[in-house]
Amino acid sequence: MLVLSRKANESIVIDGKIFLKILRLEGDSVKVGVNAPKEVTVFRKEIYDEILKSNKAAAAVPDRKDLQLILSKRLH
Amino acid sequence: MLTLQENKAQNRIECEKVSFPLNLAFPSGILGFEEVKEYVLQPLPDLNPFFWMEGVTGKKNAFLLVPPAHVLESYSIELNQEDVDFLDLKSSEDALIFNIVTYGPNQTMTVNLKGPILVNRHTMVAKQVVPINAVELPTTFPLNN
Repeated sequence: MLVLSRKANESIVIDGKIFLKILRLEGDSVKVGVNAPKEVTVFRKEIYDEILKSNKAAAAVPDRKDLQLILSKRLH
Repeated sequence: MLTLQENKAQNRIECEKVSFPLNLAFPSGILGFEEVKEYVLQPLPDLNPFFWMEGVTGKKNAFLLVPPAHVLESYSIELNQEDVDFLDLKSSEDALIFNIVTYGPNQTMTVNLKGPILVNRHTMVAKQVVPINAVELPTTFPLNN
């Protein structure tokens, strides 16, 4: 992990296209501004982890034909 | 910021007579499957109200989707301006909302309300968004028929 120290209003550049700026220090929390190309997604990590886990579980869906069989048993 | 609300009383899909299948472009992909940028979305015949969304390229991963109107009485999401701009939503009528269904053990089904799939029904651009009010919304909301 690369560790950098920044003061308020200082920034970090990632890959020449993603810009992180430390906007404000408020007690034990930091306000961070992010400027990135629109296809680049930015998430709070805990939300990212939760959605990733959910998506991966959801993608392990039974094959469409099996699913139709299972769902029709459930719905009818 | 744009607030979208879907209530059981009015269903966007039925109301707005969308014609399927839809060829969706996901410029950011879906979390965990970022390399897949195109999906085909269609209703499952005889399995109303479920939809099937299958990736066109790569591993052809697929998801089971359901409109929130079939899941809960009222679903309200606040989109941040970046997502509104990404999807080019001029008004709430431009958006279709779907939630990803997870099929679990013992035939349990849960729905992800925290990361809905939003589609611009005119441009077919789509994104899995995390609304501003995401912290109130679960990823494992039980689906009861």
